[in-house]
Amino acid sequence: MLTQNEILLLKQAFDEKDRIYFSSLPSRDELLDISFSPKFERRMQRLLLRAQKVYYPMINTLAKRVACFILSVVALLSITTMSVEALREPFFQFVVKTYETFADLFFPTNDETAPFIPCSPGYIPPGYKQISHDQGITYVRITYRNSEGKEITYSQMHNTGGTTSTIDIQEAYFEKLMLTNDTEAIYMEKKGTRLIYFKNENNIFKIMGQLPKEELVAMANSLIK
Amino acid sequence: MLAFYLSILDTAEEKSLITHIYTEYKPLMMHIARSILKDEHLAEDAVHDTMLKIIEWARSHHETDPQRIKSLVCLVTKRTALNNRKYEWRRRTVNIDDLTDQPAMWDNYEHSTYSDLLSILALLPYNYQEILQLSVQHELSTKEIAKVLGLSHSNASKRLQRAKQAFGEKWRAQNADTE
Repeated sequence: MLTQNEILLLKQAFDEKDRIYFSSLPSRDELLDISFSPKFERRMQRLLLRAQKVYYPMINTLAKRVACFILSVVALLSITTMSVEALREPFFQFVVKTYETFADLFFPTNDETAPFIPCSPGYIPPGYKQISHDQGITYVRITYRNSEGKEITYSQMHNTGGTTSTIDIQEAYFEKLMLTNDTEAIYMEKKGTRLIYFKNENNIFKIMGQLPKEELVAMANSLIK
Repeated sequence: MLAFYLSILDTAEEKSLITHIYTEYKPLMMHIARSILKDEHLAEDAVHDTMLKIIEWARSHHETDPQRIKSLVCLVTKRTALNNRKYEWRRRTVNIDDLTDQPAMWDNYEHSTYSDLLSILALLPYNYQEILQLSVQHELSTKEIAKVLGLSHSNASKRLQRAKQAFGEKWRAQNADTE
């Protein structure tokens, strides 16, 4: 490494070297005939104007200019959306609607290792006949239909590790019901369709159809051991 | 409020310095760039690139010595033109006869007060002379040097270290001989 004294000497030597070098360069008068293209002059004028801005370091490269442009557009759009009522209202309505329309039902699990035992309702309302039966490792889905074409859908799901079901609650009536053996259930009505959700042992049951509430509750009670 | 006025003042100084450098040294920058690149348009590009670097420098340094400013302008222009020439070599075939050596910078130093130092500097590769000058004479940080030379920070740091080492070894060897 260089000592302070060496650095000082070197600095003076460089100054001397510059004096020698400058004497070899053409004088200002000799450089008068150098001309520049109009395109270059315009480009330099733009550069000098930009350099005079306080925010020049933020726009001195193309990437920074592009980033600034994108940020400006995003900011402008946000400001426009928030300041114009015709845009702001639908935006908030969308947010509110999204959060008001749906609800999540969470069913905790009691015993994750319990095996899945498929079952079907012991009571079926008169006139309904089974038209389909779909069964997997962790679910059962049965559809019943009467002569009028009305259907009842019964579902059983194995509840392992907790299950969340999202339901559309917009313009819906719902209440909490007590089934036999103090089993809690969620009952919901919407546009003539009735639905009941409940958990028994390690299963989640859902029964849905266009049938009276009493019939729906009777079907649910027939599943509880 | 004071900081605001100071920032305006700084910017005003920078503005006048940048404009002054451009108007004062524009023909000189063009002369140096043209002597290296042998092409009007490429030389103009080099002058533009040089000014970008000078603007960066003027924002962090408040040099008032005209000789130092001229020295830096010449150094940066030369390096920018050399870098651009290297890029042009990669981009297209250039007639070897069109290319000249780097402009002579070491004439008549024998009669100088610092002839010993200058003769040692002349023995170093141009890359080393240039980085030493930027660091020692113009007091640029390694980061600023890296920007001016178009190198990564680590490469600039390594080159500077080697340049100092090479100069130190030669200088001490010469002093030992004379003693």
